[in-house]
Amino acid sequence: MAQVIEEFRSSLRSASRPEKQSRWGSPQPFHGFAMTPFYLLTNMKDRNINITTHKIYSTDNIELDSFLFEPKNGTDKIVIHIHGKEGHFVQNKFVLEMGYSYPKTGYSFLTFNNRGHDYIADLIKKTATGFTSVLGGSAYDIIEDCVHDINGVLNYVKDLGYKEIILQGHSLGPHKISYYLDTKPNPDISKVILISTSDILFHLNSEVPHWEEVSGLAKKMIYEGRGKEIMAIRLWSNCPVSAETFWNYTRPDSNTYCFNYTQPHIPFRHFENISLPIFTVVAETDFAMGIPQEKAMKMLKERSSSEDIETYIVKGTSHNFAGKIDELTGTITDWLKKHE
Amino acid sequence: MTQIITTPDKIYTPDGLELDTVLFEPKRGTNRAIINIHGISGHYLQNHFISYMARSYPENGYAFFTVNNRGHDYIADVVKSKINGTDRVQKGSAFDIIEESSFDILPAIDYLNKQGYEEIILQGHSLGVLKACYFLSTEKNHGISKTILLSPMDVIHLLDNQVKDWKYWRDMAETMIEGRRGQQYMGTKIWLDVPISADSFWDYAKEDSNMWQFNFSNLSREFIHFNKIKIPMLVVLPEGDNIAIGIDKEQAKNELKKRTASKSFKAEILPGSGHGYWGHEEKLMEVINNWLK
Repeated sequence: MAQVIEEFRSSLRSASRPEKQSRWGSPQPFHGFAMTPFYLLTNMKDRNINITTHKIYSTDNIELDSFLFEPKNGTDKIVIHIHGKEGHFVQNKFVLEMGYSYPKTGYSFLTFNNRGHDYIADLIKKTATGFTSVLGGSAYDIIEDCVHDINGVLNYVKDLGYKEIILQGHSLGPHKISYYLDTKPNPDISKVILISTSDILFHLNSEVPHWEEVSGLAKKMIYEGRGKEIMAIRLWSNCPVSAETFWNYTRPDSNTYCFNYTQPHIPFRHFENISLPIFTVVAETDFAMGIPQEKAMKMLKERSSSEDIETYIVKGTSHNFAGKIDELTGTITDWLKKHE
Repeated sequence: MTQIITTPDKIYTPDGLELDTVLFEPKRGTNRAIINIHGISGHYLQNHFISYMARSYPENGYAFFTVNNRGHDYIADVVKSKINGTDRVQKGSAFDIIEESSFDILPAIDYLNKQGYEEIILQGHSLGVLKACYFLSTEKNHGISKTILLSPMDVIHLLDNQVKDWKYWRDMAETMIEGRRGQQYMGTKIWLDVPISADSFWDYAKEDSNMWQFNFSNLSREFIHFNKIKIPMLVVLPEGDNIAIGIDKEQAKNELKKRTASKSFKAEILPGSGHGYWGHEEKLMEVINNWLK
């Protein structure tokens, strides 16, 4: 490690007065650094895109940071991205790639931090007298609260003049979208894109030992007024979890049970009731579904009430589409074009 | 109105962590940039003054580069690159170690150098101030021309006032580290309700801590790292920031003046403002922009 850092410092010293180069050209990879810097990719970006940062407020006043990517020639169509558990609004590399790709096909792209970002996060909340901090993040996430986040963002983009709105979610994002659309039907939403649809019961059964017993403990803690306490157990991805959130995932009628590939006798809650056009993209080696992808996508189509559902499996990649980002983005933009 | 180009991107630390960034540049171009280092439990866009800087700095001829450091949020899921792909590691304020801050600042400087920026100013807020001072004091050829220190904090004062029995917990942290349990959470939290690992608590509380820089509550102590910085420096002290600094701000300003090694030192007190400058962002920008000019 010490050698790597010293090499890095040496490269910095030698680079401290570089020759002028084109800002958006192809800078040379620098010496002493094991990984290819991502900016080698983004430096090739199309500058016909306006990128802006925004602070959006949920309907219960939580501040949500966001990036908006818009084509310079304007559009009234937008894709809103909802990230998954313990991630954040730009964590997955495909998010930035979508930001640079979707506007080329006539769609703006907005990605925002929802209240479940990172494991434990410091959220800003607007109050009558100013702002305060509240604990958030995946450890405290409650699926029903996604309505506040999504409605806040929808109100915001409608105020910006967007008329056709598409919801896109990744990992836990599809569950939030399914819950939202089933319980708060919204005529402003025209289509949905669901990426990496995880089976929550599979995660619990395979990665959370004795979760059914712990669920009882979580319920008891809530009853005792200790719902915000972090439990001794972790969720998958080593995620610390409060009693309220553990109960939210594990109670018998959990609204997170939307894609029960491993328990097909259980209804695919909320998802089954979405009648909008749906495009689902999954990765071939994604462990999050618990069954082979072809079988899962067949099941999804059988369970859907949409008359227009398509699925696509990206070969040779996993949950975050590493190495296959172009294919992921390309298949979605193709679907968008086909559905104009 | 100045047109601004916004570029979200990612940089990589020498130990392989992926850090999210965003660069705000005036469309007309500049070769001067300001790097922002956020504080404890925050992130690269969280404070409202960041939005003001994103507009105001480019309007005044400076690009603005704000970067998630490894201490972002309380507990964060950070992507780590490996030779054969990526992994995920838990970082965030609960695991932050000040000595690792150089790993995060070096690639930020390199990113700007590679984009053609020649004059780079390092700005920190709150814990970011301590990280900036540590970096500037320990990196001999840092290439930074000036520094802007917003809301420095007195860590000993914070420990004394916000962490009950902190010396007991310091001993506990040392014991946990000796037992190879440094990454485990402690039974206490630090200010702002931050869960904290034994490694990180020890880093804050050990007797020779590199965090103990702005010792306003213990004036017999050296203001380490800060007192080694010779480049031009602006320090902004929010008048109402009594949690991070326990003494009168005029006195704090004088103590800084006595201890600085910079021949171009300026400290300003921002009347009525708290630690995060909420509602005082425009005044903050006025102070900084005047100094930059």
